Amino acid sequence: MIKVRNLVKDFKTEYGTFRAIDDVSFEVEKGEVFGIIGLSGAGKSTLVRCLNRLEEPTSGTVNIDGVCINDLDKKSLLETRRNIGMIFQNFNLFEQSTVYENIAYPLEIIGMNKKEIEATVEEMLDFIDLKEKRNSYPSEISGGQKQRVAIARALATKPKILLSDESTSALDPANTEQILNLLRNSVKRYNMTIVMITHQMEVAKNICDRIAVMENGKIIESNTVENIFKNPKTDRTKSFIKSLPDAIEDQIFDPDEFNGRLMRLHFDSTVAKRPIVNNLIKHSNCTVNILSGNINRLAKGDVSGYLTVELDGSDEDIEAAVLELSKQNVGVEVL
Amino acid sequence: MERILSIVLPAIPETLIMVGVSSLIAVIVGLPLGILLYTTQQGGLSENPTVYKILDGFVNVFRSLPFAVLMLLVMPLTKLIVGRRIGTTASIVPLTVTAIPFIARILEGNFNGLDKGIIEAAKAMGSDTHTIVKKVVLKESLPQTISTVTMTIINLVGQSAIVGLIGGGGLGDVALRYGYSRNQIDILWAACIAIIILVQLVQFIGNNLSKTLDRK
Repeated sequence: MIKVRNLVKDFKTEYGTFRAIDDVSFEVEKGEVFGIIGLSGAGKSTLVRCLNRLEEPTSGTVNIDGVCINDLDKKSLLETRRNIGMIFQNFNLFEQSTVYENIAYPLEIIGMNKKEIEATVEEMLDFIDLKEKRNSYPSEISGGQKQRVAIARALATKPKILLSDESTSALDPANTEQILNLLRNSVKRYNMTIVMITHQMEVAKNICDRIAVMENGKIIESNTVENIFKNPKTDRTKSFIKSLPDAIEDQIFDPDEFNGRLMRLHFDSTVAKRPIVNNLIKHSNCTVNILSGNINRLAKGDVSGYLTVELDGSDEDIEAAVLELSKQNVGVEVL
Repeated sequence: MERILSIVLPAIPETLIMVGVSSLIAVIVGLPLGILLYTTQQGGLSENPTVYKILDGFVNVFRSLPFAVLMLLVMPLTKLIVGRRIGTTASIVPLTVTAIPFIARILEGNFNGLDKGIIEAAKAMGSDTHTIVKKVVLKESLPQTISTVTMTIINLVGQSAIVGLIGGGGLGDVALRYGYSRNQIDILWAACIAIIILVQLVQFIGNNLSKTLDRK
């Protein structure tokens, strides 16, 4: 659906050239929710703006549905943009237009007639559950409602892709949940592919299928949400996971302070429901000491967790225990 | 009293015509000029440095001239258009010439003051420049545009009094001829009061219109 290859974006500043996007490549499948997470200034917003050429990339290509959008002339670019919806942190609704007029705008510019526009706007108002606000102005509705209208406006032309730039960052947790639900429904109902920019791991883990972590203009890690949580590779990713409200402080243990061997076991949904510790104790001669652990709930009811344990016993016993764990699909990392 | 009214009253429609016609033409020319300044500027919707530099220079030159000087400078143009250099109709030319760059510059500022995110959203939806200007920029800035036109009209009321210096007609002319030259202080005061009422009325209507239409 979306193929990004070796994308680079330079900005010229007073002090020289600043590389906002540094050789980024990734792919997004149809119907997938792809998250790009990073701190502010990491280049996420610039990256997402290169996908619909609100920013012109310095080099590299963006391929959408087999069409390389970097080569498009102005007219074809406008046509392509109509197939890519976009929502923003500050909603960016037309303040002097009603909710109805806001949602009707993208339909007017594709030349739809009044009757079809009316039917489509009604359908979208129903989808966002804001029928009673059709004649309100943006200043008269709440932030969460504004973002719902923005989603309706972005989806009115039934685009194939939705770009979301920090769409929940200005909202409280209840409204955030409502917006995420709406986005999930849009994937289901309109077979939408979503590229989601966020700095909130909480948001990313709740909706994304895959996550790319961005730092200094580069994608430093990219994996399924489950794998990212199970086995984060970079410090940045670990710190994002730690920032979650339900994450227990992932204590740093010094292996030298323990008699036995320290291990970090990570597991996904299928394993999380099985009594792995019980099996371990039963099938090995080691003593098992649990030091810390956590389970994260992810999108679609998936879970991902880890346990830090101390295994004490002879080398052979420990080796046998590790083998036993691997057989049960538990990832083992010796600390 | 009757004497005052017989002198001041006929001057009111003269002022209204001068101000009304010049405001109208200034909006008709100044609005597109303001839009062009906005769209052709660096980073604008249809960036064009050459066009911007020419328009920007034109606006700066006319805005830097004091009205009394501009009035004398455009006299040949006035003669060409109206056929005469002085009088109520002739005054419309310098008034319009001074108002056009004024409106254009303030509108450009209004447009630039719009939330950039709103323009970005319109771009992301695949709107061309024409549509963004017509359906987004003009609509979103309508309250400010009304304030700008109100301000222009009030400026023109003041400047229409200056054309009295060259026999332009209207309330300013009356104040100068009767009040100053013939030392008839009552006429001077009557003309002043009429001007004040006129300005207050324009301001009142403008403010209300702008406030009623602003949904933000």
